[in-house]
Amino acid sequence: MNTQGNAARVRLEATIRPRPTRSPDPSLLHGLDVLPRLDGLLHVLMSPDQIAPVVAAGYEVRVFAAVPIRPLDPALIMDDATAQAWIDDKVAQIRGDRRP
Amino acid sequence: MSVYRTAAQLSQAIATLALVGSSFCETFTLAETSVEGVPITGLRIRAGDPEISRNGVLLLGGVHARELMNPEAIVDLAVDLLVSYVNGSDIIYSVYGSGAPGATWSASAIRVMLESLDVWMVPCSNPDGHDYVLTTDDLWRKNRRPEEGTCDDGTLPVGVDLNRNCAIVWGVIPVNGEITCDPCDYSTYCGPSVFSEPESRNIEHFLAENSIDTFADVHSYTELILYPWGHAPNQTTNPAENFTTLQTGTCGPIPGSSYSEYIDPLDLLRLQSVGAQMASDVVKVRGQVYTVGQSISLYPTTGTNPDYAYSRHIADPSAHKTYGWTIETGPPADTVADSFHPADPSQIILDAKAAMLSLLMQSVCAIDLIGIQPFGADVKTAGIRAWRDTLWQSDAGRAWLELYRQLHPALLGLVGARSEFRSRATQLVQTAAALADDPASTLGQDHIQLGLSVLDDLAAIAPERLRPQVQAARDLLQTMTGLNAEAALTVVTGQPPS
Repeated sequence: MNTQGNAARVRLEATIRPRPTRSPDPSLLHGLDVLPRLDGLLHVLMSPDQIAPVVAAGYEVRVFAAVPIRPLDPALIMDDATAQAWIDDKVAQIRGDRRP
Repeated sequence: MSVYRTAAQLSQAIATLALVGSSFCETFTLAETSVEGVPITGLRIRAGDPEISRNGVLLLGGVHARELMNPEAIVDLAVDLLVSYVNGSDIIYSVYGSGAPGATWSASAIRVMLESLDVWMVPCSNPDGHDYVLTTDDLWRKNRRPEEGTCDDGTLPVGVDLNRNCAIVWGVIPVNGEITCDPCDYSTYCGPSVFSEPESRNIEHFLAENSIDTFADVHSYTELILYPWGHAPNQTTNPAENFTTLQTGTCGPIPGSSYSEYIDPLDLLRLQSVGAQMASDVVKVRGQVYTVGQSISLYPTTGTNPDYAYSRHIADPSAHKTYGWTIETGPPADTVADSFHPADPSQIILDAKAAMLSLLMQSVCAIDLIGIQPFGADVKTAGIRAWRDTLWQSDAGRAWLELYRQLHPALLGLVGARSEFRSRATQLVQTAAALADDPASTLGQDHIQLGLSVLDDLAAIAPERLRPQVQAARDLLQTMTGLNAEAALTVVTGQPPS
């Protein structure tokens, strides 16, 4: 099963639980990106093409967010000048320099 | 607000810190470059007399690429340690308005710690994955190894989960386990073979070449402190039921539904008690409650770094024993992305630093330090360690050891700050070692008075809640005149401190 998920350019955040009327096959859950549990439920990132096999295996999938495959928000990334200023400030603290 | 650095910027930051603290810091480079050829560097802090033997601590970050807070936290902690050591300033992690008291480590305790430990810090152990998160996919977790074949959707499989690739039950999939043998898996592919990846082999090489006593692999998220094992429930009664008997690389479950993994009960207590102290220090920062538990409580895993580190001495009795923990920093946020790399991680970084500093502090053996290093004494403390092992065997004994653990930061602070206290503590350790080594030797009134004076100094600076227990220790000590070590131990194991 493809689980790389890059072709669709989106992943889905979902919770998964066994359907009461089925004996689910947990081996079908291998390959999901399991996150810490949410409200006691299995909490995953999955690609759209993973949903059908998981449902067929006896699970209920509740999708509640689409998570685009994209870079980190550039605003969160330090540029070199900011990184240098950060370390310069720390060096000044280590040396005990007075800062304006 | 820009808060996350590239792998190169993280590397540059620690190189700069090593230059500034060049008399006691140096950079080191792990044995292998990353898959994409990037050198992986770290910072070693070794202050004071470079010749003395030391406990080693390894702090590892960035194994999972998307967990961006932790490389920052490790670099930040390095800065704090250098500032404290050079300027003689306390380290205080607190958040105004949180209602929590703040977590404080005195300058003298930090000095003693840095002069008695080798602190090895590797902020960004997966630089290729780290930068891929910044440039391409902000939820990428693995390294960037191109794998063979093509996935169903036509994409090429890439990457191995570096925290599933180590030689501990590698390639076995526990029931409900978070690991796969599928190279197209987005998150937890264990790799084509054990230690197939240079980034995970770096951990193998590093642990083989350095005496590391304690190791924290810092991940996100869920606010947990986890200890071995990850692949099966722990049991402490059947040493023969252990991982060395399990077949690896099966891509199937562990045979037998009732398999449990043996863990030495004293090691288990240490893993739990050190983890509990880490959580106790974290909650002081701003009230965040980190839960301490066995790794499997998050989800079953195999091939992880901390389990591998702890397993080495079992697989090979000549290997150094390393206690390993996973710290899972940060709470769940509204989105998955914010859980792994929030726009403002500053408070989570404080929690992470408190947990790591707590581990560093607990990695100092105060008795070894007082007896051997670096104060000119030369006391063999093996006999005192044997007492400790005896104490572990009883409820009352463990309660006394727990009291000692809680007093440990105050003890280190006094040792670092007051030469007169250090002198008396050294005498006390010498007396204890002599008692331990000679069954005929007994406690005299002068020994009792020496012990009482050390306890009084500790009580004066100990947290208020511990003072009744220190008084209990005082009361008990005064009943021990004329006892030899064995009789004194019998008294101690018969009466807990409260």
